[in-house]
Amino acid sequence: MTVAQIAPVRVSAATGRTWLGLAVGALAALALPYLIPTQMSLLVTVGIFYLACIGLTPLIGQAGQVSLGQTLFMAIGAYGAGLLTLKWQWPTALAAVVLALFCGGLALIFGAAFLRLRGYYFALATLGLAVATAALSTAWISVTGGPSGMVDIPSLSLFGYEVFSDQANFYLLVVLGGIAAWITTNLRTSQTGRALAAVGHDSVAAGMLGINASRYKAVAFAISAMTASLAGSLYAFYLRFFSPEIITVTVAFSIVIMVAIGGSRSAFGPLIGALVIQGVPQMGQTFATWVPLFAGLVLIVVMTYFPGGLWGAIGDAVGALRRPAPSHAKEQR
Amino acid sequence: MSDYLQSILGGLADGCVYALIALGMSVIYSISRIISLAQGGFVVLAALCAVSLQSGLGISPLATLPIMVVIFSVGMIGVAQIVIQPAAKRATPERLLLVTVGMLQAVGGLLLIGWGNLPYTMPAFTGDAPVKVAGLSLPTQYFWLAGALAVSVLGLWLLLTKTDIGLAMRATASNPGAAALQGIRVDRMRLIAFGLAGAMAALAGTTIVPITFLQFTTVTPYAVAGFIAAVVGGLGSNMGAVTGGLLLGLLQGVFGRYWNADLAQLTAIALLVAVLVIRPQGIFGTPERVRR
Amino acid sequence: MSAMTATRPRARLFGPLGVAAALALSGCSAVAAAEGEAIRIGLIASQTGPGSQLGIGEVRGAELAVEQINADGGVNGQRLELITADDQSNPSQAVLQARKMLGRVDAFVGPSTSGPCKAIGPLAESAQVVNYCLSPGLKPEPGGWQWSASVATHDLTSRLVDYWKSQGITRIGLLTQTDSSGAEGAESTKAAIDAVDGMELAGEATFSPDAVSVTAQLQQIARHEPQALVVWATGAGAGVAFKGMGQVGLDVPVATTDGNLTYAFVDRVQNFLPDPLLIPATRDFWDPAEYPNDEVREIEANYHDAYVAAHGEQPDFGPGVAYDGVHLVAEALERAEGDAAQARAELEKITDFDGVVGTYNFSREDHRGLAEKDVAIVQATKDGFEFIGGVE
Repeated sequence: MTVAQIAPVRVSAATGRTWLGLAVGALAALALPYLIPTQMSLLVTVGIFYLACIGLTPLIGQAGQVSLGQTLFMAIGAYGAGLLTLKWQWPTALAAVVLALFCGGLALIFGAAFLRLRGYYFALATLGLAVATAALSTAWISVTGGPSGMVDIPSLSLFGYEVFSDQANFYLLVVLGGIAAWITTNLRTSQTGRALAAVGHDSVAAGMLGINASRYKAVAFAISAMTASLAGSLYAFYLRFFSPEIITVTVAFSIVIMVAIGGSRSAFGPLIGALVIQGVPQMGQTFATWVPLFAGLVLIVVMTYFPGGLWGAIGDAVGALRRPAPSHAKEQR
Repeated sequence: MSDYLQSILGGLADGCVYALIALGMSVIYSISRIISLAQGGFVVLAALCAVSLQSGLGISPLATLPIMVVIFSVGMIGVAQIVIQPAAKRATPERLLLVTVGMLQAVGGLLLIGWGNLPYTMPAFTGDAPVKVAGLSLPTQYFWLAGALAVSVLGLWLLLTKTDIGLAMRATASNPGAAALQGIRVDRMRLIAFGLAGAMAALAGTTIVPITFLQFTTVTPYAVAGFIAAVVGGLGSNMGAVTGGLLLGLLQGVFGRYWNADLAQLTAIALLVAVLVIRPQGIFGTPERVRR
Repeated sequence: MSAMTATRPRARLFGPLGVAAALALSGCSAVAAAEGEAIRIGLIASQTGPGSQLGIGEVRGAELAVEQINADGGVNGQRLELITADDQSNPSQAVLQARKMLGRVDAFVGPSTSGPCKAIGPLAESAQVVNYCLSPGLKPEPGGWQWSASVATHDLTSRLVDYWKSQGITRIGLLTQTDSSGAEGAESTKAAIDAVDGMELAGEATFSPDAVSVTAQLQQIARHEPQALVVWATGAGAGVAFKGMGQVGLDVPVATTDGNLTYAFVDRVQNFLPDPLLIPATRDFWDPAEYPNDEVREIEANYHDAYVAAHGEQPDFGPGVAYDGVHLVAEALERAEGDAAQARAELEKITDFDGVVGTYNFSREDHRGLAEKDVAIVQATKDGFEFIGGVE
């Protein structure tokens, strides 16, 4: 009960700082395209993968379930956007929204089947989805274009404005990423979030408290599917092309690696993860060669020693420096 | 008819490798409840090490087999000691799974740095000329593959049923807590399981590389195939792992011949999902608490 | 839990700043140099990944061409600059690299393989920049902004079938990989066999690019008793097939795609090279005695000698197409007086242009410019590629 008693005291100071932080963040986002104009395509990619990652945080961070199947929903979002706009001339934005909702529904169905399973059987089932995605996108040539991919996908058009340039895409992603971060952060601190955390901690006990574990997890899974689908649609509109190489099993792994490395209990963790995994290979050929080994080792270390990810570890370190309170460190787990 | 048989035999040859990967995963799982997705990666690592050993030292391909088996069983014990033991003490099962994903990724990265992105192969153990049996033409390496699998299965069975270590391992597998109370050093059993898995990875990698080309990108397909085989067969069931592996190879051989290899992959996934939903303990697995 | 609520506000404050700082650091090094009065060509090549056996050579070939053009006075007196980028053999990386170059370059050369080429097509189209793609696998639209390098697949297979007919071979087996280039190879080979009297298809099978073995497929083809076999697959796939031939005891002449005209490939498969392994190849692989005239002889000598001097080995497939690509694009930009949007019209007007790969004749309908006349047959041996004939 101490949490409830302490929290209100800190909230007023906290909200002030939160707003300041948000304002600084928004300014930085506005300024970035002018500060580093040559790195815009990297920032757009980071933004897209951030979107795919952020939706996973309630599922991984709170419910303790690892989904390796984000590429399935990205593929539906991307190929679906291409098909709906090219074959049936749907407006691009409508296609993206409808596909995201469709993916949310699909995730509820899969979730109903998979989430009854104990522990990592869910991870294995979603890994199955990722493998099926890679195989299907190659084999189903009449729909996906097969190995040569889907070409000439239109750019996103919003209120009559064509979102084509890197800068426009970046600002759009900042807004969408911000909204997704806000929703997932609220979800974590809301009643649902606490229910999820309880489920993640001990689902049997949570069940006794009247929390329907599978339902909460299915909702978290649906959220991850919706952001992944949106990320996929935006990626397709940005690249104006999509192919099986973009959604291989390796990519499915790397999305989870981004979340895990950065940390799944804060909105900033996945940003760090996406920046590291997408950004480092751009620094040169030598770096690109070393990235898989580096990412693998970091994942091992982070998963073993820093359950909160790099962001959590930084937070812990800063917290420990500011306020030597060793008892808190234990509670963080 | 011989055409049909040929596809089946080709599929079974690949299936032997999947079965060895799944068997390694199964041994590790039954002792430590860890699903090691990295097992497929170690197969490719062993294969490329064998190729380098063979071309570097100029020894015969067959001679690399025992060397790799020794190096990999010792090496895997080291990996388990350094990576798995600390993680198993601290992490939840989901995080442990990601630790093995990290290992898979790291092995792939090591291959990329050490061998580049070129595919590698080496000569067959006993000559390239095929054996002709009843209108079928069989590469001699097929027999080595079948032999590697047979030796692994038989050796594992003998170890588990005829030795004291095996008894301790079985006790640990069925109830780690009770085994620890009996004075069995569960940590040590876990190291032995990883050592066995390392030996199987070396057997699989060294025996398959003469009939194919392997490179760092092959890591994920092998990991995925081994994982499908192990889960469909039933995690922790050695019999299930072997059956799952051979079945997957057969499926790919026959589908790849008559339709499309991607369809084989999809069928396998459908089977996997069906098994997970309907019979989560796998075809041969013993029912345990897999549902909530 | 109390510790978490207490640390979060600070986290929020420092988060964006830290991220911005990290980005600024990573970005600084790549800020473009001051854009002077130069003509710029953006080269996107697969310097890493499976396409690197082509891409690394392409960078060398393009650099050589730029060097020579600048030594001859540049483009209308302006310096020609090459901006290179690596697409890691991945279409999405190709798009990202192309986007980075938009507005900074006057034309694109590359990428190395057909997937990435198709991927950057819409970008070249909307930016109205000429794209000379280095993969022969692309089929450029008439009047579009993309060009395709080297010879079309049907010209390769047609020359190959003619050559085999002249050798008295009539029964041809076909083994292809299930990717876009394999599918095209299968279609073209069958069309070529149909087009020549007395030739017949003897067995046909496909295999997936990540197949571990193809002995079953080879066995099935062997039952049709072909006198020669076409293996349309690149890299490891072709290697698995060659290896499988020894295993099933199928010992016939083999032909493969020009995508395997690389030393890296021959080096990989040297221990089980089929005897012979034939590849339909363009002029840069021919015997100098077969060149049509002295002018071509000089162009080829100039290219081969400079390349050998710089890199200590004969050029393979990649350098030739990139060398010609840069020369063609530079020529078009010169005629367009540096106006990138005019370059397409000027490139379409280029005819009888002697390159090292062949003699180019572009038009609005033909964005490839080469034909069957530019193809002959070479044999891959352990020491490289040996011209064996088939010139008209």
